Amino acid sequence: MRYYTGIIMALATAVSAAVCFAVSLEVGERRDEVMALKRQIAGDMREVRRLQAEWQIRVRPGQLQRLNDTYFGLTAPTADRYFASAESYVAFAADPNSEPQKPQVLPAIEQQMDSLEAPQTYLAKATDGGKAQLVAVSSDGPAVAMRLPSLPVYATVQKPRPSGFGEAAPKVHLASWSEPVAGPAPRPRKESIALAMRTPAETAGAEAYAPALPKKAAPLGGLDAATIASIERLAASEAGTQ
Amino acid sequence: MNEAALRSLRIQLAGHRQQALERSRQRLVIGALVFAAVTVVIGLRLMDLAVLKAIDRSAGRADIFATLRPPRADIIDRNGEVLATTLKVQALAVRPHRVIGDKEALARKIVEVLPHLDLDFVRRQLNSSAKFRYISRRLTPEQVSRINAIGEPGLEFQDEAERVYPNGVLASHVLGYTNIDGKGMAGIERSFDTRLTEESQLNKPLQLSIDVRVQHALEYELNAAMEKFSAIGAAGIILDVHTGELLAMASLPAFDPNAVSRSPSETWFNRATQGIYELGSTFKAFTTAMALEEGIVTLGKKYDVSAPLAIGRFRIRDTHPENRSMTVPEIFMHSSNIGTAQIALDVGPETQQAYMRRLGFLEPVHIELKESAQPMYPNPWGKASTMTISYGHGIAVTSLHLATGYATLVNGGVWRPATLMKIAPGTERSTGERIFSEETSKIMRQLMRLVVVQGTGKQANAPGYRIGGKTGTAEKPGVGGYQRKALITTFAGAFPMDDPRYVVIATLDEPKGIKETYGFATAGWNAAPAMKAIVQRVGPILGVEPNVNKDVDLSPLQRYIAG
Repeated sequence: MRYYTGIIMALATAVSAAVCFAVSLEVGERRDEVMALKRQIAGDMREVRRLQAEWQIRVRPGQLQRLNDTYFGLTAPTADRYFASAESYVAFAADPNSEPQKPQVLPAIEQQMDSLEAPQTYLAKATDGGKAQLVAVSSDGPAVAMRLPSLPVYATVQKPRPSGFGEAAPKVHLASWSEPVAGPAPRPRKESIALAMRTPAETAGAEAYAPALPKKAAPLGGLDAATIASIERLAASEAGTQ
Repeated sequence: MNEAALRSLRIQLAGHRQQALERSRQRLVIGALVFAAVTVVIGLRLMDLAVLKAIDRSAGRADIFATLRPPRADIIDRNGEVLATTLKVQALAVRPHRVIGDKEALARKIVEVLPHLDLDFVRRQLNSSAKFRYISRRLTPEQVSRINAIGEPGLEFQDEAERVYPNGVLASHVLGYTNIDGKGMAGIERSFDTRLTEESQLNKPLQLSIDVRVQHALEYELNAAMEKFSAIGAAGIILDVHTGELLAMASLPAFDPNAVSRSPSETWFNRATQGIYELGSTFKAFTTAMALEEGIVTLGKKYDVSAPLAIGRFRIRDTHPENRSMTVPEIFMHSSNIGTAQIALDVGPETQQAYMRRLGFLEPVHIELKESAQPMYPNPWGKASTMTISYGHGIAVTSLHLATGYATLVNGGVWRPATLMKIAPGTERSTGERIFSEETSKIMRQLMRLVVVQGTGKQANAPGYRIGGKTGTAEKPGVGGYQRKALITTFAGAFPMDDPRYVVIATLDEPKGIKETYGFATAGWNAAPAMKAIVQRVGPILGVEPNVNKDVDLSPLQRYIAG
C-alpha cells in the first residue's frame, strides 16, 4: 500500500507541476499581450498628441486666412447682414427683392430693454392642399402666411435660432459672402493683404470654388433664390428636422 | 605467526578500513552540503529574479503611461485651442568608443539616411575622442527605424522634447519661447516656467485669456494698416473692461517662437508691454475725467482757446486753432491742447499726479509677463509738466497702461489689473479700485462716442458697433527734441459704447501719409480706420452684435456744442 502511495504522490506532483507550468506560461503570455496593448495605447496617445499639433498647424488662423483670401473672399459680417428681428427675416425670406425695412432709430439705451419683452415670432410650416408654405407665428398675434416664391419649404416650427452670439439674441445672422469677381488675371497677393478683406480677392482660381450662382445676382449683396433655399435648408437642419 | 597475532592484525586492518570509510563519508557529506548550498543559492537567485525583480519590473512597466506626460505642460487659449505643445522627438548620438564596425562606412550610411548632414561632420563626430557626441536632432520616425537597421551598437537615440507653437508668429510676444533645454526665455513661457514644468501639473494645460481668433484678427488688421501706411511697427490690445482679461495683445513685427534665432532681434521686443511712448491726446480723456470727477469743471464750462498758451520757453498750440472759447465737450471733441492744458491747471499738479498714480501709470504695468518697463514721468512734477501731461506729452507709458486706464474710464470707473489668465465665467469680479464715479464714467462714454460721431475719430466709426474713443498723435523724441516726421499714432477706444465690453488700443509706429489720407499721418487718418477694421473683424467673434438702430444718447452733450 505504501508503495502505491509513493507512486500516486509522485504522479500527482508531476501532474500539478505540469498544470502549474502551463498556467504560468499562459499568464506570462497574457501579461505580454497586455503589455503590448499598453505600449500600443501609449504609442497611440503620443500619436494623437502629434496629430493634434499637426491639425492645429494646418488650421492655424493665418493659413485659413490665406485660403479665404485666395478662394472665398469671405468678410466679417457687417451690420446690414443682421436681421433686426425675426419679422424682417420672414419678410426677407418671402421676398428677397423687397426693400429692407427702414431702421427705426432708438436713441436712448434704456428703451432698448423693452425689445426683450417684445412678442417673439416663430416660423412654422403649414401644409395647404399639399403645398407647403412658410408661416410666421407671433406669440401674441394671428399667424401670417407667406408663401415663398417657388421654393421648397424646409422650415418647420422653429424658434429663430438665437444667432450664435450672446445670450438669446433674438436675431438671425446669415453668413456673409461677397461674390468673387472673376477677373482674367489674379491680383498680386501683396495688394490683397493691403485691402484687408474689405473687398473680395479677385483670383482666377475663385471660380472653381465659388458657390454656383446665376450670373445675375439679386440685390441685397448677391442673395438669390438658390442662396435663400440653402439658407432655409441650413436653418431647417439646425432645427433638427433633417 | 600465531593465531593471536593474526587476529590482532586483522583487527588493526579493520580499524584502518573503518577510518578510511569514516573519512570518505565525511567528504561525501561535505560535498553534498556544498552542492546543496549551491542549489539553494541558485534557487534563491532564481526566486529573486523571477519573483521579486519581476514585481519591480512590472511596476516599472506599469508606468509606461508616465512617459506620455509631456516634460512641459501645454498652453491653450480661452477656448482650448493649443498655443504651445511639446512633442517627443528623437536625436541621434554616438559613443565613439563603442562603435564596432568600420567608421568610414558607418558615416556614409548615416549620411545616406540623413542627407542634410555633412559627411565630414559625421566623420568627425564618429572619430571624436569624447565619450558622447550628438549627430543630429529631430529625427523622423522613419529615419529612426532606418538608422536602427544599420545595427551599430555605438549609435544611440535620445528622447528629446520639442516645443511646438502651432500658430507660428501669432501671439508670439504673449507666449514667448523656450531655449533648447526647455527653459522659458520670454513671455508666459518665462514667467510661468515653474508652473509649466511642475511634475504634478504636467498633464494640466495652462489656460490663457487670449482668444486665438481675436488675436489673429487683431494682428491681421494691424499688419494691413502697417503695410498701408508704411509704419515700422504696431501694437494692439483687446481687453475685457469688466475682468481685465486680455483677449488679444499684439506687437508687430512679430517673431516665430518655433525659430526665434531666425527672426531679427528687434522683433523680440514687446511693444505693448515694454515699449513706453508718449501717447499724446489719448491722455485728454483722463484729464477730462479727473476734472469732472473732482467737480472742477462742468460740461458747460468754457475755456478760451484763441491764443497759444505760453509755458516757459514753450508754447502750447492747437493743430486746428479756433478763435473762440470752447466748452469741455468741444475741447475733447476737437482735441484742443490749449483747452485741455487749462483744465489740467485747474485740476492742479498734486491731484493730477494722484490720479496718474492710482491709474497705475507711474509703475510698471500689472501683467503676468516679465517683459515690462518703468514708465517715464517728470520729477519734479511742476505746473508746466501738468499742462503737457494733460495732453499726453512728458509722460511715457505702455499701450497696456493705456488699455487698463481706458477700461477704468468706461466700465463705470473701477480700475482692475490686466491679466493673461482666463477668468472662468461666473467667477465673481474682483472688486478692483474705484477711481471714477459711475456718473463720470457715463459722461466719458458719451464724450468718447462724440469723438467718433463728430470729432477727430470719425474714421473709426464701424456701423452698428457704437465705437467710442480718442485719437492720439505724438512726435517721437529724437536727438535734439521731437521729430516732426516720426509719429506714434494711437486710437484708444471701447465698444459698444452704450454698454462697453471691450477696450481696443491700436498704435502705429511712424506711419506715413499717403494719397488717400491727403498726406496726413495723424491718428485720425490711420489708427482710427485700423480701429474700425479691427472692431468689425472681432465684434462678431466676441458676440457683440452690430445694430445700427441703437446708439449712445448724445443729446445731453449737444447743447454744449456750437454749430
